[in-house]
Amino acid sequence: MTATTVLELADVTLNFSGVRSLDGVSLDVREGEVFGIIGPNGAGKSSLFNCVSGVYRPQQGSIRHRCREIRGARPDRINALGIGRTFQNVESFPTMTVLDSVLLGRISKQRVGVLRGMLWYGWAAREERESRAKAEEVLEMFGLGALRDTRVGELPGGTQRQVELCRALAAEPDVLLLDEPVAGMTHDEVESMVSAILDANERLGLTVVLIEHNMGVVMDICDRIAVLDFGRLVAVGTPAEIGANPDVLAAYLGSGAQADGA
Amino acid sequence: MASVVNAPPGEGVVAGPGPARSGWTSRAAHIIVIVALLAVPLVSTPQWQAIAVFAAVSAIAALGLHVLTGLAGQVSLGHSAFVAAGGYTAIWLGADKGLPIWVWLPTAGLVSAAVGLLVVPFAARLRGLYLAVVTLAVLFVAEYLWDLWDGVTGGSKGRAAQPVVLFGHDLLDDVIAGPFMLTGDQQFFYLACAVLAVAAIAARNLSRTRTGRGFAAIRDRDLTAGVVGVPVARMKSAAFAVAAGYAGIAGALLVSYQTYAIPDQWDLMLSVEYLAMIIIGGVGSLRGAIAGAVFVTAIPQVVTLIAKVVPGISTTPSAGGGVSVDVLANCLYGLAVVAVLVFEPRGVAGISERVVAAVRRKGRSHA
Repeated sequence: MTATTVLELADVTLNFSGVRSLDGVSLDVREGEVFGIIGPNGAGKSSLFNCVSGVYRPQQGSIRHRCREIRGARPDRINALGIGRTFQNVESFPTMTVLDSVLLGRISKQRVGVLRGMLWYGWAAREERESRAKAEEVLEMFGLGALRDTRVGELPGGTQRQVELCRALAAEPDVLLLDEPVAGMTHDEVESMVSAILDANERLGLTVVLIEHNMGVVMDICDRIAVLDFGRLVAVGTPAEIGANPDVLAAYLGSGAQADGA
Repeated sequence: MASVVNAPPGEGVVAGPGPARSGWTSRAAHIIVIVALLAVPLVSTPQWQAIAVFAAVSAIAALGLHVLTGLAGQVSLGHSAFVAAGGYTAIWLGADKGLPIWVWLPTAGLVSAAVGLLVVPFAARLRGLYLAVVTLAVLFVAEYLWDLWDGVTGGSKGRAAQPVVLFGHDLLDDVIAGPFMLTGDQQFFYLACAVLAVAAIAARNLSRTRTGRGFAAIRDRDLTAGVVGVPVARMKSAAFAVAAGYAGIAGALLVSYQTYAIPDQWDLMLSVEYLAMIIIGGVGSLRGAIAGAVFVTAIPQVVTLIAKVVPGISTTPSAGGGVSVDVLANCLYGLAVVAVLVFEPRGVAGISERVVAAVRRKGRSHA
């Protein structure tokens, strides 16, 4: 276990006017691993992602990306540092075409500003061509090239999730946060999404952190899994360790002490 | 990887939403329409020539609002304040300092853009209705300023503006060459159209690059936009600066064509007119913004023509009885805004797209 730590959370605590959403969560994500986060609804999984991607600013604790403190940094800065993300409820731009959505994802890599953009000459035109080539490359990975001119809003939900992942990949991140990447997908779509995630992990060398309720997928592809419950970290371990952990079963099924009211 | 970028620059590589790729015939049709529109002032009465100039100049300002509201989704009721800022910059440089158009026209745009950036600290934090109220406040402050700052604006009485002098020729003087004559209005129209063309191409380019996609992202989902990598505050600043810059250039041309400027003309009504232009044209459509500018500018004259046929409309402001032309014109474009919002939110642009599609279908079924 000498792999470097890519993402390090220490004692992250997030309150919403008195409601504690995350309570002293500490965990390390290592370079190149697929790291799963599971837990019941409302356990704070998405809140954790929102803290890492800069949407929420936790009151306490530290979040480090390759030893750089990013707690409270602006979302676009965090994106530019190499942390890409998808959303639980697909956050696509319905009126944009598939290609434009993916090009949008590349915005942190682009430099052309307003005036040069208006001229569309030299650097501006070249940057657009390069970005377009990169976007096409990402779309081809998913076999979505034929849909490039289709508006995202016209696509089925599963395909929109794929486009969203392409959008995140276009920024060439080194960490990918995936919030329920296979939710609401058909069996075939789940398979192609899982193989895309593994592709990104193995071929592109990305570190993947994913929140997922589909236990089959989580147990299958994750190197390590963290379990959250009521904003607290219950356990971290390999799929086998997690499957055998009594605390985890208690969190999911309710132990005698906690389930009284239910 | 390289295979996808083989299309010539500016052709296939241009990504962007819009109607289906235009073929050779539709491109020819576009050119014919544009040439026909450009020829209209050559054969029309002086009144219509003046309207053509006002329409072309307003279209430049409307393009600015198209960038701000149509592309970036930020509502502004203060647009006329930026038109005024450009106008007074041009008057100061052109009339007071005697500098040529090459100086005062671009500077009017730049100064106005800088003034636009003053709104940004507020605009970046607010959205929707709250933003509209802040821009309204900017407008009122500006109106007050124009009244007080009589060294530049001439106070409430107004003042004379700078002429457009190109190569020693005052553009508003008629040119007579043998049997041909080009009136001052016609010359000014072509100047305004040249500026409009540059403005339109620049706006279109912008919408197809990094900034344009960033604008679209903050328009549709500004919280998600940040996570996707869009520097939200900077994009909003850029949108306000570009909008104000366009307004400033339009203002410089406007005062020059009017040959005067009075503080009262930069009122809320003018801002609302610009909004009406982009709404009637179809929010988010560049061509729509231009079409909307023509529509809103032409309506008073159309109403005047109707007044000659229909009783009950008075063409003189003071005459008692009947509805005045101004009031009726305002009602009409108010109705047009409502009609667009209810029946075709994509405005003139949407309607024309549907007509073209229908004509194509018909042509195909007859063939």
